[in-house]
Amino acid sequence: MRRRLGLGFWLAASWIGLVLLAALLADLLPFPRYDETLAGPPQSGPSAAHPLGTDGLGRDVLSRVVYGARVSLGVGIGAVLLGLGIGAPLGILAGYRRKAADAVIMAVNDVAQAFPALVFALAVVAFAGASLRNVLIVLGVLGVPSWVRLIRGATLTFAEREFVLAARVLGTRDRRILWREIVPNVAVPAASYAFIGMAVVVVAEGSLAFLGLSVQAPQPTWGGLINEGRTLMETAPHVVLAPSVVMFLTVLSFNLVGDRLRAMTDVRESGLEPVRPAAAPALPAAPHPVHDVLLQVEELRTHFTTPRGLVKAVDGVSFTLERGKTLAIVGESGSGKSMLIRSILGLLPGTSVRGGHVYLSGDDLTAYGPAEMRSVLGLRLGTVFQDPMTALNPVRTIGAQVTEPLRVHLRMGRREARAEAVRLLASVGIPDPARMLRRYPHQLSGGMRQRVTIAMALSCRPDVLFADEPTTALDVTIQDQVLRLLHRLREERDMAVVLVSHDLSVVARWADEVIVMYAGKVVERGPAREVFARPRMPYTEALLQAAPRLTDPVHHRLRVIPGRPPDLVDLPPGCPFRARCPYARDRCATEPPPLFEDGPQHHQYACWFPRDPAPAEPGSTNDTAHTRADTGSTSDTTPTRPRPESTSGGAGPETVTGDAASGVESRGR
Amino acid sequence: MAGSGSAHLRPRDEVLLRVEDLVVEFPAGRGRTVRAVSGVSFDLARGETLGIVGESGCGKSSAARALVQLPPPRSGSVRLDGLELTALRGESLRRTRRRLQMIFQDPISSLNPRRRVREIVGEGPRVWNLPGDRVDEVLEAVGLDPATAAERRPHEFSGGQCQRISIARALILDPEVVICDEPVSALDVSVQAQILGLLEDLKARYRLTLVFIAHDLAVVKNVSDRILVMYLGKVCELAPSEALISRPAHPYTRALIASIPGGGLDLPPADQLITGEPPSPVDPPTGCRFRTRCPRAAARCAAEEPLIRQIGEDHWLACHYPAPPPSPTGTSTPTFTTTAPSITTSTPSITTVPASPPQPPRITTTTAIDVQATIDVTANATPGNATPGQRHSRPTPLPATPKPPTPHFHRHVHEGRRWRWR
Amino acid sequence: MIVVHRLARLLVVLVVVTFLSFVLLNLLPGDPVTQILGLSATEEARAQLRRELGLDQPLLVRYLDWLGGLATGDFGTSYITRMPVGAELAERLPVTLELLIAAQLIALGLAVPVGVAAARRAGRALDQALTALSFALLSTPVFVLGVVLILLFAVTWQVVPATGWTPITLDLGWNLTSVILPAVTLGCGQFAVYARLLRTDLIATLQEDYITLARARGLSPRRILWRHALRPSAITLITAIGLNLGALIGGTVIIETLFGLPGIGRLIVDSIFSRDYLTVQGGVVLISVGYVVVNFAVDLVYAAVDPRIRRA
Repeated sequence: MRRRLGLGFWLAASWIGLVLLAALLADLLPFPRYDETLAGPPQSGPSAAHPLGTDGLGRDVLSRVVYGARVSLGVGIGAVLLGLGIGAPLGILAGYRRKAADAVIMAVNDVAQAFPALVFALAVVAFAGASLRNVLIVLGVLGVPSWVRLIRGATLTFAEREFVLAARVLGTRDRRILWREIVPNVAVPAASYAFIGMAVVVVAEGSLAFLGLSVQAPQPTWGGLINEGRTLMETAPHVVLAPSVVMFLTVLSFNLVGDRLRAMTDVRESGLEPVRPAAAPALPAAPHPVHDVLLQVEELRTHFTTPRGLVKAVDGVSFTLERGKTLAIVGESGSGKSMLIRSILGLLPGTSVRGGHVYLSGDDLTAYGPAEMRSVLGLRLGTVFQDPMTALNPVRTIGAQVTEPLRVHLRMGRREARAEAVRLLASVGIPDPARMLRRYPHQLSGGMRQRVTIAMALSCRPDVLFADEPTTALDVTIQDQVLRLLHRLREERDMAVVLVSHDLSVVARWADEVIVMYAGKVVERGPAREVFARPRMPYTEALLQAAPRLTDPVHHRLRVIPGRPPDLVDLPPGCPFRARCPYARDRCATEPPPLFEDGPQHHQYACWFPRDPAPAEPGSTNDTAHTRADTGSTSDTTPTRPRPESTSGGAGPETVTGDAASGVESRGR
Repeated sequence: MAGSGSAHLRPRDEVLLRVEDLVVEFPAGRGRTVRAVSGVSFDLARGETLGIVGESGCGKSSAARALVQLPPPRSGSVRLDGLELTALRGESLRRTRRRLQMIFQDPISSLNPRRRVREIVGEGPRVWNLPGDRVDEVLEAVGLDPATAAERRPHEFSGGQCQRISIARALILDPEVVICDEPVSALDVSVQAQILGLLEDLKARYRLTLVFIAHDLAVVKNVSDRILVMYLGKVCELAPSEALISRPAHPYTRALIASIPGGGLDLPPADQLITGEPPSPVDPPTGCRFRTRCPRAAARCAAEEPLIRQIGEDHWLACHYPAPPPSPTGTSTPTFTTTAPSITTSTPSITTVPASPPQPPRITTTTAIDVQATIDVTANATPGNATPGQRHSRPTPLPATPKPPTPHFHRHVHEGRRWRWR
Repeated sequence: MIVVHRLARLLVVLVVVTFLSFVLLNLLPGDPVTQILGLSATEEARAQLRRELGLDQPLLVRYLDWLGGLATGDFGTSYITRMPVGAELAERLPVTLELLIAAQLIALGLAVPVGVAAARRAGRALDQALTALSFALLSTPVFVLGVVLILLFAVTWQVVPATGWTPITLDLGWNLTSVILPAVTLGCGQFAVYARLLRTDLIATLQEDYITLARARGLSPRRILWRHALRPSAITLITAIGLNLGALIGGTVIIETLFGLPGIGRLIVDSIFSRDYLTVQGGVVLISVGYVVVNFAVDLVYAAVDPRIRRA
């Protein structure tokens, strides 16, 4: 995504342009020459004739500053080009070739960085003569080590990317890979460093001049002007202030331009760019009964303000959960399933707005303040995240991390907490738990880390465990171990588990109830067996048929869902799945379907034209398929017409009849 | 198991790609070596898809990269149509590259962010001095609309679309073998199905030979004719896909299948659970590399590395004590009460005869699997249109002469830029 | 093991640095003999002096001689002042060290709380103010900042003396007043660098899963910030402390000239003007050694802060 450079960038660029232009055209500008003494009264302040006043010899300060820019900018640009010219090829060579070239270049660079650069520049300029050329060469050469380091680093990040490997597989020659694949990518960071480098060189040249070791008088330089002005500080401060301010603005501009260019390429940095929360739209919840269950989520909404618009990440999700049950939340990336968990726990970024209610044993958590919430989090609500590699603090021991909730929440002493931690780690199947306490996360495998995070989540015996894709980052055999462990712990501790997963087979095996999410909404909900055996929402059905299964024959054609999940910014009206749905009709485009409920098992679905429920025959899939195909017409197999849970939609959903097949042919590939 | 040997290789004139005793090793710092691939052999007949499956660290990706000599393997032979690739260097190696292409896992990282799609896809022909006018054709073949897609840059596309571009880049050179290294593991289920379908279409259309590498056995089975199971740099089992899934003999293969919920096999509990985690490839176990996690391991497994041997029609195995075939109906498993050696059993000498000798291969003629699925999925894709035995098949059968898939590109482009949370 | 390896590397770097600085300085135009005797001296007198100073020896011999002296702590005798260089440096070193340490303390002492506060409320007023301030400070050359500070504190308000130095052994109070302004001048730029680095890294750390999980465990924001987030975020900052030492030493040269402090930087500048090679060389070596040793120490601190580095 192209990022905007912002006003500051353009102001800074204009200032640089202005100074550069003035320096180039200095001879043509209508003011006295820099060395013309008594152009005005000495030490006079700013006036119409001398906008920046005059110095001790009556020379025009503006003229001297503008001529000084020639030296400062000339050295700045020249030294950077010199350093870049030498440093960039070496850096690219070191970063791309690696091995010997890299080792040699970096060793030399190590030594070079240990030299005190400015002191060296001083000595060289003093001994070799203070001329523009010498200053430029010295500052340029002294910048080479930094250039090598920066360009090498930039090259490395791209040389290891797969597109370079892909180019080699294509048979591209090295030279072409360098020019076509690497150099264009390194160019932008290099440009950014170039501007920051110019700022550094302008300051360095100023320092030399300040010590009297740059271009010799009478030719002015900014550093020299400041040094001269120092003596008049008390009587005529403008003489020292004028060049100081100009120099400051110029250096600032170089820094700003460089920083903006870097921010444009640095994804991590730009990702952190804070977004101001817009005026939060109120998210009211309709009146509703509070049930006597462990966890009740009522019309939960989470909206984000992004630079592109409002994102409804979670849009009206309700469910209840009882002790000893596992609720699975299924969906593809961007469906809002992880955000739902974070929303329930109140762990949302500042740019979000939350609506609806979350009741834990009848207490409304959304009414809790931060301190009250902390007394519930960890203590009654446990959490496990997807990636065990990032879920543990890399610089703290396992012991410190596992005992922390025990000591904070349960106020255990050090010794007691350690003993409990050992018991906990043993209970999640970690061998030699006492030794484990002294280790750091990077010393453990992924499976072990996930066991540790589970142990931490369970340490205060929570009532509900939220597991957000707990096994996605693990190998299949380890996945199985971890899921079995979770299931066993649920039984032992009589917890409720909320399991978020994109993996339907995991959900089918371990969940009692399932919620299917799409574009932030619940599109289907019911007992896991029921939902997977008889999906009503076309999305659920398509998802089930799109996932390859071991029981399918080889080269089996998977169901293809065309397109991809919708952009959550400015979601069109109607059903969010409409654009990808083979059964969509006009009504789907205009009215969002509410959740309809069907049958004795509280099977809910959000669809105007749901798939008809297959005959309740819990036999093999083959049988079901045959029966369905044989019956041909579907309306007979629907004993009761589903009734809408809410009346907002007007008429109830219609079951699909054969004519929807035409839609299949035109849309399904 | 997890052994060596090359008994399973077919006669040279039948195969397009023949890999023999491949060894890939990397320095791991402090003088240690990562033994990523240790003596793996396999071959590919023309037009075949070979699936390679295994967990992270089993060496499947290292093997893939060794095939294209990036970097070249430590030792072993890679023959493409009789030409020994490992003996080639520099320009002569470069000249073979057209015939062997690769698709990578990360669809974002494998495309240069600063180049346009037309340049990315057209890079191959430019390098090889071929006419570049096929860019539009291959873009259409992978389901992208050249008019809208070609002038855009990778960041304007979703992961699935980027993977299509990667495929187009490989295809335009008319390669003989395409190595797909986890091509769908970064994608959502619905997009994954699109890409798998696309690969099958393109394979037929361009008569490709595929090496399909993935960690997901169900995905591999979906596209592969034969499957090679790897563990810690060694081959465990090689068999036609159907046979491997329905009659797995290697304890590791069985564990892999058992750990997939709804895998369809009703295995005895003893075989389902493998404990522990894979050892480090820096310091692999002696003998059979799987023995540290194997429920059937015995003393012989530590002392003697199993060699690959045949146990059925084109079914190859590297294991001293393979499991007997599971009962396919899943009702009862009487064979399992026979004594399988366990670690606690003291085995006096390493010459012990395997306690459960491999049963004669049971070759079933039918391809249908009659195992019970844990998940019952109703097949109701096309009411009134579905015929028995054609469940889940695409509504429109693929025509004999494939026409380019309908481009759904117009709609996606303006949905455009990937949406980010932060 | 690692320490031994690093120490060996450190030694190599030092030998190379000394050799290069020796050779480079000697190859530059300019001649101490001319500097001492003036342009009008006879050829014989010049040759005589050359012999006396040992300048008739080949460059390599002179280097090895000098290096041998260095190993025993002998920096040689200045051609110009005829004083031992080592003694001169030893006399000046405390001034520069005090200035450097004071500047670092000021910079870090301000940067850590400000960086943490800004990261905690990223995008809010405080954060934006810090960003603006750090940009301004980064773009102000030390000599400009020094001049402005002198103008304000010494000339206008007359709170502290503009120039001069009172050794710490003489009077602590006066010593502090004489070091405060130079140290603040020197520390301001460092403060900006450190605060920005810490802010950026801390913001990145605060987005990590383990921080969200710490919140999910009901830990207080303060505990999360200081116990969980600060240490993993400090690594770039620690590296910067080592690497910036070079810039800081360059700064001392200016600061000591500007504020009239009798430190190493001023000594080097004076020696450069008087073509006092051995003193310049001694100063350069001292600074290089300091740089290398500090960065060696930084590597050790690194390992203490981040256990992942310990075994690598």
